[in-house]
Amino acid sequence: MSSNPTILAKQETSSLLQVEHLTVDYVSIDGSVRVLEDVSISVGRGEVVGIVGESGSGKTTLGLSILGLLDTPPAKVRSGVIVLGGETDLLRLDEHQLEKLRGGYLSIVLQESVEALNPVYKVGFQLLEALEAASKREGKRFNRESAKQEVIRLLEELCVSQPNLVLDKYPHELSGGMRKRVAIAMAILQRPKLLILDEPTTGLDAYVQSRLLGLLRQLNREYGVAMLIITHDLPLAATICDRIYVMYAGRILEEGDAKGVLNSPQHPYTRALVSAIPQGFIDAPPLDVPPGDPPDLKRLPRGCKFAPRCPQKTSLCEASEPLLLESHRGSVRCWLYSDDKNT
Amino acid sequence: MTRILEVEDLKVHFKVGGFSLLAKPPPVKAVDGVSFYINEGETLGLAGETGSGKSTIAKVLVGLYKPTSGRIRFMGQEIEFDNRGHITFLRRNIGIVFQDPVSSLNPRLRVRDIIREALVAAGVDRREHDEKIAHIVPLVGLRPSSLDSYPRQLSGGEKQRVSLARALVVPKKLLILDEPTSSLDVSVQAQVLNTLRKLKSELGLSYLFITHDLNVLKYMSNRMCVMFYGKLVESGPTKSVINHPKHPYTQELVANLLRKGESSSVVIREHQPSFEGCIYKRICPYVMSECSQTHPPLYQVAEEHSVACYLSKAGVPAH
Repeated sequence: MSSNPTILAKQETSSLLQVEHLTVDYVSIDGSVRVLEDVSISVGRGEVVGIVGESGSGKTTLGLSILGLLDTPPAKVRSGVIVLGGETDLLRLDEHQLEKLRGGYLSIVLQESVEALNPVYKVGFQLLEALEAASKREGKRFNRESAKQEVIRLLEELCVSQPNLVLDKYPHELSGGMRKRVAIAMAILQRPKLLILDEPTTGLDAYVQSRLLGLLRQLNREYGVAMLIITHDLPLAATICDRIYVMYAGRILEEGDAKGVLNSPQHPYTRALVSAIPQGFIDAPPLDVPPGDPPDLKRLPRGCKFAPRCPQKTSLCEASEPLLLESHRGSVRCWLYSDDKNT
Repeated sequence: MTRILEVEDLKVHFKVGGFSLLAKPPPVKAVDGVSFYINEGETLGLAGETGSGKSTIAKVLVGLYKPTSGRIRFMGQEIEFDNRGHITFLRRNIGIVFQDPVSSLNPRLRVRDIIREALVAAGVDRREHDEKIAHIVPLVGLRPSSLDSYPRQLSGGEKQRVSLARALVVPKKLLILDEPTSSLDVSVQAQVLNTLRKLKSELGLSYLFITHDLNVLKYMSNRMCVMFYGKLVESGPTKSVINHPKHPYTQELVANLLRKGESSSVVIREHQPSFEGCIYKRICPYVMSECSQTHPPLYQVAEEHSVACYLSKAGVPAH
C-alpha cells in the first residue's frame, strides 16, 4: 500500500473518509500508552460503517481523531493521515479550518450527550441554531416558524413526547435518554455528509433504540448520509451497518461485511463477542466467554494482543503479532488464517 | 414451593412539589397496584423501560421507600414499614446490587473495607471479618489481590463483583439485581451472568432481576413480569411470555428482540401512558371502546401466565 496520501486518495475516489495507518499515543508522566496502532479504515459515500469493540479498544479515540477533537496533549498523533472527500488531510488542518468542517461536512454524536449541549441555553434555541447554520451553509432562506416545525417533527420521530415542552427546557431539566435524543436530533439537523455516532443507543430503551436505528437508516437511504457507528454491540452494528471493523487493544482484528462478521466471524475474539451474547432461556448452558479482563494498554503482550484470552492460541501467537491480511471474507489479523496465504 | 416474597397490590405514589397553594398537582404513580411473588430458589425477571417503576419496587423492598399502600410478606413475615425492626429484617435478608458500580462504591475506601462495612452494619463479630471476606471473594470471582485496591483501580466488571461481594458477605435469602450488567462490556457481562447463575445454586439464593435487556432477562429468569408506567401488564413463566406474548406492549418488546434494529411496523407518534382507562391506550394498535373505561384487570391466559388486556378476556383471541 502506498504511504503517499495524495496518490491513495485519487485511487479511492468513491471513499468519503479514508484513515490510513493512524497511530495515536496518550502521553503522561508515567510514560506513553499506545491507544491506536496502525489503524486504517474507510467509509464510502453513503456507506454505513460500524466500529465494534469493548472498552479500551480505542474506538472512541478513533472517532475523536477524525473530527480533530482529541485533546493534545495528552494525545499525540504519531503517524497516519485522515483523508476526507479524497483531498483534505484532516490532521494538517488548523483549528479554524476544522471548525468549518465540523457541523457541516462532519457531525458527531458523543457518548456523553451532555457535552454536546450548552447548559445555559434552552434546547429549542440550540436546535434552531443548528438548523439555521445548516440553512446558511446551503444558501437557503431560514424561516423560523417552518424550522420549528421541522425540529418538532424530528423530535417526534425520535419518540419525544410533547416536543413543544421539551424545546422550552434547559438541558439539565431533561433525562439522560432525552438529552441523548436531543443531541442526535441536533447532529441530524446539521445535514452532514458524514455522521459519526459514538454509542448512540446507550441509555435508550429498547423501543426508542429501534426507532432511532430506523430513523438513521432512513436518513442514510433518503439523503445518502454516510455514517460511522461506534458501538460495543455487535448485533446492533450488524443490523444497521454495511461493513464492520472489530477493534481490540487499539488494533483492527477483523473487517468484513456486517452480516458475515456476525454470522460467521473469523477471528476468535469476534467469535467470543458473538458467543457472549445471552441467547437461550434459563436452562441454556453457561455462556462461552473468554477468561480474563479486557486488555491493559500499559501491559500488552508481545505477540497477538488477544493471545492471553484466546482458546486457540499457539506458541506462534505469543511470539509475534499477526498482520491484518485479506481473507476470502474481508480481512482478519490472526495466525489461524495466515497459513493459507503462505502455502 | 414456598414463596419467599409476596407483594400484593403495591402502590408507591410520590407527591410532586408545586408552587401554587391552591392547585395540588396529582401524585406521580411510580408503582400502581402491582402484585407478584418469588418462589424460593427462583429468579423473577422484571422488565420495563426507564420510568416504569422497576427500581422503585427494588427500593421499597430494602426499605428505602415507604409504600403508599399494599401488602408485602417476606419469609412468612408481614412487613410493616413503620416498624424499624421489620426494615432491619428486610435489609438483613435482602441484598441489592445497583446498576452503576461507580457511584455505589465509596471511592475513598479500599475494597476490603467496602466489603467489611456490610459486616459491621450486620453486627458480625470483628474476629470473623477476615474469614468471611476470604470466603466470599473467590465465590464472586474477585482476585484476592484486588482487596487492597481502591474502586478506581478496578475495571467495571470487577467493581460489579465488589458490589456483589458486599451484598452477599452476610448470607442473604434474596438478592435484588437492578440492571447489574447494563454498564458492562458484552464479554464482561457474560462473565458476571455466569457467576450469578453459579452463585444462586451454591448459596441457595433467590433473585429479583431487573433489566430492560430482554436477552439477559430471558437467559436469567424462571418467571417474568413486564411493567409499563407503574402497572404490571403481563406476568408468567419466562418461556411462555417470550414465546407467546399476549399484551401488545410485550409483543412489541419481543418483536424488537427478534428483529433488533428494524424500524417498528406500527407507527407510534407518542410513547406516553394514558391516565384514564388502559394505561397503554394511547399507544395500542388494537384499542377498543372498552379500553377507555378502566384499566383492565389481569386475565389468565395460560398456567400462571396473566395479562392486563381486554384482548385476552376469555373468548377474545389475543394475537
